[in-house]
Amino acid sequence: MVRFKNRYLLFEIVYADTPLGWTTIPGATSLALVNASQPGEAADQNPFGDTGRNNCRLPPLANKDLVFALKDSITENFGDYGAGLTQRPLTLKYFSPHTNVGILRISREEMHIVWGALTFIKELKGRPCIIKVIHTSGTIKKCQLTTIKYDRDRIMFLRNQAQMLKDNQMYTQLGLAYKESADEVNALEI
Amino acid sequence: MFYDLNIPVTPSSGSTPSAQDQLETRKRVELLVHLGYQAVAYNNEISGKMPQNHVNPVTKLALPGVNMKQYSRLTLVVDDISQNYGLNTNNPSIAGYDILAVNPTNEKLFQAACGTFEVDIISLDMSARLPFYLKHSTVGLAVERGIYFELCYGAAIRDATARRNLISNAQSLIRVTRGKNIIISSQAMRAMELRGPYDIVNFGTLLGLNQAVAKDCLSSHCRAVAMHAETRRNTNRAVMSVAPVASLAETEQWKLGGGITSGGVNYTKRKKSNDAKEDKNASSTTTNKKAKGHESEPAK
Repeated sequence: MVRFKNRYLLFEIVYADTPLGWTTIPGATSLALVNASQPGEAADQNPFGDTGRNNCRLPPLANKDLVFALKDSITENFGDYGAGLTQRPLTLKYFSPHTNVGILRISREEMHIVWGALTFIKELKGRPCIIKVIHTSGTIKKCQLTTIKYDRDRIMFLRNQAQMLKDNQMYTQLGLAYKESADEVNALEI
Repeated sequence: MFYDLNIPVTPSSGSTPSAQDQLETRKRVELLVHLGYQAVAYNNEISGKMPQNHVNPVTKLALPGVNMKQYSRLTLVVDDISQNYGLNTNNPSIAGYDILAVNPTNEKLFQAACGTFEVDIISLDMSARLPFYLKHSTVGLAVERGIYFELCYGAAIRDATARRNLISNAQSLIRVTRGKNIIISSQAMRAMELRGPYDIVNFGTLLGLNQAVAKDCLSSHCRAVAMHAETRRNTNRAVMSVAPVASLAETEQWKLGGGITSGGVNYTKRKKSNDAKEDKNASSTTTNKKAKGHESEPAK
């Protein structure tokens, strides 16, 4: 008897209203800087998007919402048959509402169905978004390592931005956010 | 390297895109960069006959520090077999675009497009029911000539009926082409209709493509389209192309032998015509004569 095999998908949610602060386009960066330099708007339109919990104006997305949205999408696109096939091993192992990155466990055979359903999600709780799969692997370990690396790259970029803006509070906050997210990811059961 | 060869930029009013359109285009391109694409084609769609003295309205964005190839593309919606659309490189309004696509709306034109039209892409509207059957004999002609068929996923993300039609049409296209000569592009009107390249590869496997082939649909097949377009536009009978001396890189200057002084004169001329980006044909004929002396030319 062959053991039951899983796939772990590492995905990222890209929202329409969050600036792509971590892309390397100088134009986009300078735009964010301009927004922040105006004191009136800085509080309202944060260039860092949803990075810190305190900055988030909307309630953070709960794991439950994400799983429901995914199951709805599976039913819509693949019908009851698809929903039934994927139901059992489908679990959200990790999701961080401030880095918008999560790890999903699915069975290996039905990977394409679940991934296809993720592709066709248009919005989460009324917020238009894209779900982009960053990495797939057969063990959760590699997903964890990739998550930490991905988070680090992004937080470093934001920290550099904060340094440029001389925003000390944001700088330390991001440092803490990185430690926190790394600990959280490491604490996952393997 | 991933390509998205269909970002629609058809100006909503007038001949030049408004500031609103340009902002929207910029958003889409920035998201494409974030998702990991490295080449994009801005698509202008024109139905019916090309207007006289048509100028390419596509402006390529300045993206400093970003590795993003940008092409301009024309999609001509053709619906009348008796009309002459002037689909050849001598037509100056078509030569202004990098990539040329046609969207045939009936079977006769589809046959003509597969068999005779000098184009790079045949783009059918896959989000509605196709008005004709795709036959292997017709499609085979296009495959032999190196013309690619396009699948656009943007409409499928917008609504469910389009998704259903796309899946059904894609299946029949994959069946008749046997998975060859297909490219997948977005045709995303708004940024949120784009998807990551590997997400689309996975969608391709759901449509019945092999995983490796699905990846090629976004990468090497698109590259083939770009090369096909280049060959169509800038070569003489797809055998020989003449480039100005000045286009040689610094490290290749030795090929010129002693002719650097005349190359220098040429250089200034070419620079100007590059800036204007228009009447390429006219300027290349003048530079041809000068360049011929220095280029090693294959015997005809």
